[in-house]
Amino acid sequence: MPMGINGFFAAAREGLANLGAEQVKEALSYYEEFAAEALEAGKTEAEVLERLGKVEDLIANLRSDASISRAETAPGPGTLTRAAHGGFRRLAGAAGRASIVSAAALPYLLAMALYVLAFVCLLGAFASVAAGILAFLDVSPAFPASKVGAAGIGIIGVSVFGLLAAGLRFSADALARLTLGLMRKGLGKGGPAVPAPKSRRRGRGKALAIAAGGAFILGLALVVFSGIGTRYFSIWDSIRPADIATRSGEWSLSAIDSIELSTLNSDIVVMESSDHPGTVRAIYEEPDWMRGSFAIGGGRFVFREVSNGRLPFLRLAAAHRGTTAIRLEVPVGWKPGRIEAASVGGSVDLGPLGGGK
Amino acid sequence: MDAQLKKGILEPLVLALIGGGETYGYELSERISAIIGISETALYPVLKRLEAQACLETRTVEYRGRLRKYYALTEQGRESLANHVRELVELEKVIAVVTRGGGKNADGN
Repeated sequence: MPMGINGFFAAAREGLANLGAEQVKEALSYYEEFAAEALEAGKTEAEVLERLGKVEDLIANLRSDASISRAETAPGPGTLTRAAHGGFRRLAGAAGRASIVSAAALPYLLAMALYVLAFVCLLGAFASVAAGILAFLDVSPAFPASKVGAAGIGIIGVSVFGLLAAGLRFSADALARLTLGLMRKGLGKGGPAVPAPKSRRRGRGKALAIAAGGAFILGLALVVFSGIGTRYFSIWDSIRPADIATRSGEWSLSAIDSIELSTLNSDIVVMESSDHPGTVRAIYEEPDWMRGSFAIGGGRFVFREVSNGRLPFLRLAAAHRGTTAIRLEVPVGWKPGRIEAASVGGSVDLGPLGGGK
Repeated sequence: MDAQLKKGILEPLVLALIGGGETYGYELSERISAIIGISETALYPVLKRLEAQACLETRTVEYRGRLRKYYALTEQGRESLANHVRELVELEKVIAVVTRGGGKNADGN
């Protein structure tokens, strides 16, 4: 014996227990009114139950309606996925709705892709905070202006990624509404799509855009006025820096057994010269964001170019070729016991002392 | 009748029946099922949609200790019905041809 009318509504209530109360109440009261009227008019329980259809269908449809409404009022990847889950299944079940399924599938997939991208940009915004902090720490306390500029890098990153994330999210929400609208159309369900709570959301979006724009300009100003922007640009565009200190020295050959040269992005050039027999001469062009130092001891001649702490992440930027050089002049025919030369971004030309690198 | 066709025809039918005078759920359902066989789960969404589109207005009345919801047509509902009528009149021509069998000499049954 199949369940009676009371059983039907008990099952429906149980199946819909965790849905939005108002929607469920309204729908069930309609069906209950119908059942009561039908019984009063002399129909049998079996007849009424037949007209009510399967309780599983009723539950599934009301659930799906509720999830679509919820996604319309609060669009997001989670609500959209839930709405699409039931919605597409019902659409697929309805004969002749293949065109709607395919029409709704495209904006659905696009919306989900944009949600993912928005999330990635959100991660980018967080990463920018971390990058800003790291850049700040990477700058030596001797350069307070660069510290400010480093903070500017973080601010630019946050504003750009934040704005991208918000824009993508906004577009994804619009596509989600389109998907839900098509789904409703396909299912022949109630009324116009719930209009988004525009005024507040739009207002918030506008405020966010203004804040992000302001932050971007602030960050850019900090980077530019702190001077790190122009220095990075010099490296990137291979512009010879305006402020170059030239350091040079001459060392007796008898003290040199081996030579070690390492630079960030200054070129390393070794050449022969007959001007100064018996000595090695070095000339180094030092930009104001690097420090080059010569050291000699125990038969080793060592030159190292390192960051002086003015530019954050200089090792990364240094991979781009610079325009300064360390030049080593050695007497004709002389060779040290050993030579090592390496540069992160610059070229290495060992001339008479080796085939180059 | 084909499920899709039924869905399409249900809305004008509901509008027309309610247009004939205020009615309530069960009465409406009985009158419709006398014309085409449908389940209640098909009728309810149509009523809800028409209500959301402001084609219907409702009032709830207490009747024998429970509530009965009455539906009446609004101005918008009347307009919508008129649109449906125009479409159906066109459809009528199609039906006439289809039922005659489409042949030039077919004179109907």
